[in-house]
Amino acid sequence: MGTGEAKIGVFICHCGLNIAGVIDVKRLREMASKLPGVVVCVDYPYMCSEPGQELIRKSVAEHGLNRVVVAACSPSMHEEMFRQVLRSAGLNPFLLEVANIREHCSWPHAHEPDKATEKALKLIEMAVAKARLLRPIELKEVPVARRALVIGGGIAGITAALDLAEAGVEVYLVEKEPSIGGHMAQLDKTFPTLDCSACILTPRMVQAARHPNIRLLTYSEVEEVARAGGGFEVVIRKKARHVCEDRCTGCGMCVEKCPVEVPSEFDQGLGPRKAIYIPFPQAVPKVAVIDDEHCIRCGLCERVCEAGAIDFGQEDEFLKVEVGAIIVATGFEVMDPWSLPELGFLESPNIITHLQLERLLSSSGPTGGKIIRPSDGKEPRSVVIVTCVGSRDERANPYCCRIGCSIAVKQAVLLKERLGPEARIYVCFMDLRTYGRGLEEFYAKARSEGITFIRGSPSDIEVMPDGTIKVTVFDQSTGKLLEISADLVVLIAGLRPPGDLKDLAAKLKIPLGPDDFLLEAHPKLRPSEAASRGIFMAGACQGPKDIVETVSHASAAAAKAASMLLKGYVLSEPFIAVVDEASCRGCGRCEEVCEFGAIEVVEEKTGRLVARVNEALCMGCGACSVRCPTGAIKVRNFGPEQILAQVAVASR
Amino acid sequence: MPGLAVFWGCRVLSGDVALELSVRKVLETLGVDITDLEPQSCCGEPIRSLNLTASCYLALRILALSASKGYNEVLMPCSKGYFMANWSLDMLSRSGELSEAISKAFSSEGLSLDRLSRPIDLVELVYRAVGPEGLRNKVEKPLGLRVALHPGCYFMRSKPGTGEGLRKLAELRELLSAVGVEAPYYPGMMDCCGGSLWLTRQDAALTLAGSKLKAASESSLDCLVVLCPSCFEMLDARQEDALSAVGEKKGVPVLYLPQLLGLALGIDPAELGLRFNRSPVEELSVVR
Amino acid sequence: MSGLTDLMTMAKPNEALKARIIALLARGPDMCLQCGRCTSGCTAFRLLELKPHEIVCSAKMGFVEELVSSKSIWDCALCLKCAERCPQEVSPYELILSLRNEAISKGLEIPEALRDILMTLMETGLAFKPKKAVDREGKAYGREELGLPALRTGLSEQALMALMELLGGA
Repeated sequence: MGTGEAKIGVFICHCGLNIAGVIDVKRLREMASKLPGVVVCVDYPYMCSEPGQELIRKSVAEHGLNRVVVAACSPSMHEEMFRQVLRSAGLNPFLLEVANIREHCSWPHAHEPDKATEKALKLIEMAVAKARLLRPIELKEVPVARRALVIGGGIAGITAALDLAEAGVEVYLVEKEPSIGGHMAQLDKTFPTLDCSACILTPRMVQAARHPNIRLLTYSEVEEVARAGGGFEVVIRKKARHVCEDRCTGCGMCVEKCPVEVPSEFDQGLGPRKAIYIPFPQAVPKVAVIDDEHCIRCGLCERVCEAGAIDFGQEDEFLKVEVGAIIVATGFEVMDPWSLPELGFLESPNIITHLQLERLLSSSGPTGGKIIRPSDGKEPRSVVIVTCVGSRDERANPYCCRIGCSIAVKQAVLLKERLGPEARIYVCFMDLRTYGRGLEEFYAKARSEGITFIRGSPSDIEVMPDGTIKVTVFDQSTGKLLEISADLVVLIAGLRPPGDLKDLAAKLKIPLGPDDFLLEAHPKLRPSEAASRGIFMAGACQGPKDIVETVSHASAAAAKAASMLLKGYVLSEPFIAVVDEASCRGCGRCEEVCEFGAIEVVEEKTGRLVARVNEALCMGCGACSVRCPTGAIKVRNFGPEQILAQVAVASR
Repeated sequence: MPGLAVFWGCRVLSGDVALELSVRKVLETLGVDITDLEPQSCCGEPIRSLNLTASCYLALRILALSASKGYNEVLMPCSKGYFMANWSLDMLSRSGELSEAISKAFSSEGLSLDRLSRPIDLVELVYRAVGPEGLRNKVEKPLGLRVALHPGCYFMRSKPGTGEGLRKLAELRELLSAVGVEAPYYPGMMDCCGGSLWLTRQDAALTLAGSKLKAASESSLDCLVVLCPSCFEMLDARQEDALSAVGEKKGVPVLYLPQLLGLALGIDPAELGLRFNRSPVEELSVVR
Repeated sequence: MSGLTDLMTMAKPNEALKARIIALLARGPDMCLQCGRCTSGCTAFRLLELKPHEIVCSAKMGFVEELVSSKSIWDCALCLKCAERCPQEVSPYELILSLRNEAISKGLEIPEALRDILMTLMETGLAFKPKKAVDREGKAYGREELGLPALRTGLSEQALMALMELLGGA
């Protein structure tokens, strides 16, 4: 199979008008059918359709084809599907070459159809030249552990972990904070239904902690990740809590006695916590943790702990685990609005972020759910909510935070409810985009409750000596310049990727998008997978999402991971480096340049040195091949002969 | 490193010596050498409305002239001059046509866009040369003042939208605090003095200056501190007119930043050019 | 005629003029997302008629002729607040400067003070004439009396020529 004289079929797709609207497909077919080795050339409106696929299968049988060239869209779209067509036609799937005449020709050169056609022909010629030299590749089944690592214990991580656990997969759920729950645990109510956030989240947190297939690792971080076999070897650092998890009963005695107070991260600095603390009442696990930075080692906690759980000598532990899949669910961060030039010079506790307002609204927050003006504790009579603070903003986050408008509507409704009908609530917006089910209706409800919506973005915000905030905004609907005197200003601050996402992505060797969130394998078809096998993404680490979208995304990631893990094996990667041992001199240059530690020069029994490739680690980058002085190491089907054949055509 | 060139700008040379005297004296006391860039010429700021390319040419010519004389950096105590330098550099980076036109204009004098001095302002210079700690060590007379700082548009927004203004403001406050001066936020702190509006709408410009003075008065802080000669002109030299434009009478002492630093360094008020301030600076005990 | 018509004035967009006016802007008016923040904070709008968002949006649609001849472009205080705060980095004040450039080159307007500055610039190389410093008692001092070094000022002849060429007919 695949050897002997090349009999090549070329299949040109119109992609409706995407290709045929620009490129002269008929001419392309005529020219391509004259290329050496081409025995049949056909064009068809949609090659990816069932009749299109059948056309390829029939041609293979009819003409005895042993190589196939498809000229269509990007191989990242349908290459895998066309490989299966070859398989079903009885050919080795790697005897396929795709010429991308859509993304590389008809789309970018839409205004110069002749040149686009010329370029398409060149790409087909190159593909034919390469196809002639393609070799069949047989894939091996590599076993994978039926275990997964979920990084991040917010609603995304919890959902993914529970779905996997229910499917029979063992899960390590790693959370860097002392408790799981993430941002959702900080929220008061959720839009548009006004469900209590804690009421719907807490049971899921407990369920995750109790599930026999889930091992919860809080206050822990992923230290190292290496590919091994079909999966990964991961080192997890369990940071020292200085409290024994299995002894602590969560009684809170230690917290009560601790003399050190610092601002609570969970309460966004609006209230204090102690140096030994349990971040919030519903924390899971409900175990105290000592904050090393602020603890003065006075020993009071140790003295009052009846369970004897305090352990100042505790050190970080390192756990090595083997998993078949990794789901990243590290969420987002709320940006610091004080980095913006129009806000950074203001000094007032009465200007807060939407996340801070959630803590004020929450019954478990620093004020027990009472809305106050932080400067003096009085109840605000007038509140301004400003949307798009740092979002859709070239100076900060060029992208939309997607949830800000709905948060603004929700918080306006909740403030009106808590502060009473006389309280004035203003929402200043650039655009109000309450997309999603039930949200337009929710916006209507807010309007009906007497909340004032102003189409305009404030510029000058001033803090008056009595603590009042003056917000000036031009209202485009009335053409008036409005000054609003407010007791409290709420900034709907933009969302950012977590500060440490870049490091994690580097450890996982997966790319970030231009917005610094994780980049999915395909924006439409593979939105919850990384391009690297076995790595999946859930929730806002891939871009801002609301809770509904986050939960759906997380379940999708879990389903994708489960379908891989439950099979029990993965297929080896086709395009990896192979060594022709006869011509290898064992010089080790390939080993030097390999970024993935996939090559090792070993001594054979005869004493001869030779390079060996670890198939599990090789990413097929080809750096070794370029460096090899004898041409002994090559990436399968991307060797010098295949590449140079294309170059020869291209430079003709 | 070759010495530091200084570009004073037209406002200083047309009689606003308070800034020049105090900058020279303060830098001398701090042991920072400066050399006057000669000949001094227009930075292009006032003719932006006339022709953007020509104004960029004048600004960049100063940087090129300074570089041709071997200076890596040029001190620009005038905020508008400093802004013009930064803005023109930004303009260069966005338009090939502009840089071509300016290169051509440079050619007859043998200047080049490839060799330009870096503009720095007084705050950056003092911060880098001695820093808050170094400054604190040289203080002879801790001032113990709470001032209404008017950073000014062209200091705060020398590189609009970059957050640079906030960084500079933080550095400036550190320096002030080193000499015993607190510069708290007050409502209207970032408001414009009307300096650039003077060319086209004088009444409105005076109203802006008056409102600024009023904001400073109402803040019950000791005096108004400015960095830029254009702000000084509006708030000090034209103070009487500005106050009457908003129906106010009570004068506000206005000091240049280097005058304030100089007082703390123990320099004689006469040497800081305080007799050239029109505003009631004698109300401040540190001046007397 | 196809496309937009302003029914208040029957004006049509002038795309060629628009292209010339926005040529030097980093992110031109087309990027405006119409939030109105520039006008919310505009120093001049509080005292005069200037609404920067209207200028940006009119320019975006190509209605630039009316802008070039409008009085309001001369109201801008050049405080740079709009440039600093625009979430799309559109910089309305630069657009206003560019419109002023056009108005002057068409001879529509040149404010008195600007005319004086131009004359002084051509004469001395400075925007303002060097003067003696006058103290609060009205006493004038030369630089020497104040212990200040004499400073050479002015533009070289080549620089003046180059400047005139850049200024064109203005």
